[in-house]
Amino acid sequence: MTAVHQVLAAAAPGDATTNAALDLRRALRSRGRSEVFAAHFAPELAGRVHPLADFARLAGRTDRLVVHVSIGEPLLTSFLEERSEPVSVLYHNITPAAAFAPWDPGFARLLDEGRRWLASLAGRAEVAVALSRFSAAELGSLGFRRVLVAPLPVDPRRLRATVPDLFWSVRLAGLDGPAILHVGQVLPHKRLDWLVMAYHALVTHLLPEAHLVVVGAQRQPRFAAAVRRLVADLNLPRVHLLGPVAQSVLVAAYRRASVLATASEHEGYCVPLLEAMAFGVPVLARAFAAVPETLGGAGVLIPADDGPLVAAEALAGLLTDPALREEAVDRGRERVAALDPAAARSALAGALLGAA
Amino acid sequence: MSDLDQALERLRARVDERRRAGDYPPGLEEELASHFEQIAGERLAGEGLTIREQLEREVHLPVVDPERLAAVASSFVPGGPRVQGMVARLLQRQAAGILGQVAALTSNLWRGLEVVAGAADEAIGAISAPSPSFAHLVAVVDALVERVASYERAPAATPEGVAELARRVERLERAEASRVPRPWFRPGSLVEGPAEDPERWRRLLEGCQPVLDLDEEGSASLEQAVDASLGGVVALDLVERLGAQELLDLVRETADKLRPGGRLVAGATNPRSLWGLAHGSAGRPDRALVDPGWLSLCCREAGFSSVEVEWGPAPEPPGGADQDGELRRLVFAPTRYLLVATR
Repeated sequence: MTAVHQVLAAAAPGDATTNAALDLRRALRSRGRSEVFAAHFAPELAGRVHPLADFARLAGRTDRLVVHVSIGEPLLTSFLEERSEPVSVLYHNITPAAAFAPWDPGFARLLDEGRRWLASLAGRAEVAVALSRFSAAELGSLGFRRVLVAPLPVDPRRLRATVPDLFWSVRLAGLDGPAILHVGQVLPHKRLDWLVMAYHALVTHLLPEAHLVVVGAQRQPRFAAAVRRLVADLNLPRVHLLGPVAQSVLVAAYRRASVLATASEHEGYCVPLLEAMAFGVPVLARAFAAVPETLGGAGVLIPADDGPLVAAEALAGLLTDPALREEAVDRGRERVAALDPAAARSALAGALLGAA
Repeated sequence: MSDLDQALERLRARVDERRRAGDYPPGLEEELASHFEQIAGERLAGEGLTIREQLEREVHLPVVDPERLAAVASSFVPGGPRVQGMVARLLQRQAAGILGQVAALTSNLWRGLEVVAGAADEAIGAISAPSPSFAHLVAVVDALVERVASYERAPAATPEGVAELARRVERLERAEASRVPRPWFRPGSLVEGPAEDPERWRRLLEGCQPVLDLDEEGSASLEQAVDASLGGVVALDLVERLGAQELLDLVRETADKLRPGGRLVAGATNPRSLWGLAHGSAGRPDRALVDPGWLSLCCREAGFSSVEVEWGPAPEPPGGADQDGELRRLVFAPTRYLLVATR
């Protein structure tokens, strides 16, 4: 029986990297022993995720380490320096530091360190798995010998089975107009400011009754404050910044949404696009990083050099043109129907163990 | 080019048309971007400011002459000290609530903690060495003192007004003291339905080893199990204690952990039995009603190939057997059910 354990910098409920690790654990456990260890983790994950400091005590004989890379963490770096097991890298992608540099220089440094750490793993990792071709290209440029692409085992249909939060279902049902939903943390590279500009053009010139509902933690206070100020300056009372929400509230938001929109300029995968499609919500996104891959032609993709006015027109089109809306919804449903999470999970585990 | 790409081309052309027609103000996008850059510049420019300077930018407190401190101490208005005492009590009550909200806010905004820590440092420095910051603190205290002093000068500060205010404060406090939450059920009055026969579920799980008893081991133990490794899972006293989402998750997790042919045996009070509802534990606030039809649906959705419900024993009707047959079926339906789901 093999023992393959996963290590990551930080684990938190709802975090994409954590979700991926816990999901992957299922596939790895069908092949043998497998636990998840993190340098930092939220208390509610105790029992599901173990402290990295307890690795020696809990892991026992280990055949392989799967290292999740999404940010730099000195504890994880020094941990790996002390271990001699074969290593497989699962690259979730690291946001370019430039997006954070003016807002949070400390965090930008962590991102830079993460990228340097990733490069240092190139010589040690027997296999590096990227979640998208976009990320794979970066791994290749860093000198990783064997790079494979295996998308995340996403099962948005499972989210549909979640009971929606009653309170928020009623509140969102009370919105007197179409609801544009944005799902994602309020961070500089997600460009919520750009989306607010597009929304401003939409409600000022095209569709005044539209609402913008923003779901996601405001992890960068200065940027979040600047976005709130922009919303206030532009006098947009129909913008609702919900902050971080439980899964049941997220489901209530998806069920109410008329369109899902993201202006993000950097994504390693972008799961909310697929989740929206599973709820029959048409999607609008911008052609940056791995977004076009994830979208797979199943939504309106705004080219990178187009401005907020084109996005505003596209939002108006998705909200008022039945043919365009139906086309986007149908494509989305087809895209989700083609997902096979079990096969993807098995492929991801196989890719990570491929070097064994 | 897909239909969506073609639609985007049309939309882009429409933007150009609207621009030419003057529907969009010239330079709108540039103006918006420039405005956000200006906001960002202001936010980031505040980085180098001291806490006091930041507070002065954001908070506008009334400035009061420090002489007023002496004015309160020398007040001879009748009932003044009593009013101040009551005001202090009210302020204390208000302050507790406000502090609670501040605590919740700071726990969410960890950046805020840096600001609070910086402000505390500055305050300590200001108190130990008089400085412009100290004068600012005095001004803030003055504002509060002035607020309290204003109650003295209010018309209510007559002996009758003071007495009425005192009565109101005491009434408010009495009302709060008497508002002790009471359970709306009496635990001693509960009578459990017929006990589950352990032999019964053991028979249902014959040949289904290994069996995980969630009532004994706890639902967390299920997660530790390897996928498709269990022959049986027993939950006779668990499903009613779970929320709707937890129940769905438990059923899905169980489906993952059971090998093909493995069985889940779950027990719960039958919500279709009026007798069971009246005499069982279903009415307790920590229990949910789990309809066998709903639980069966959850199991099928989770991938169980066969789901059957076995009814438990019916209760003995009290006081003879002369009730109307229809009423008997309604009231004395089986109080428990066992759900048997096979992978």
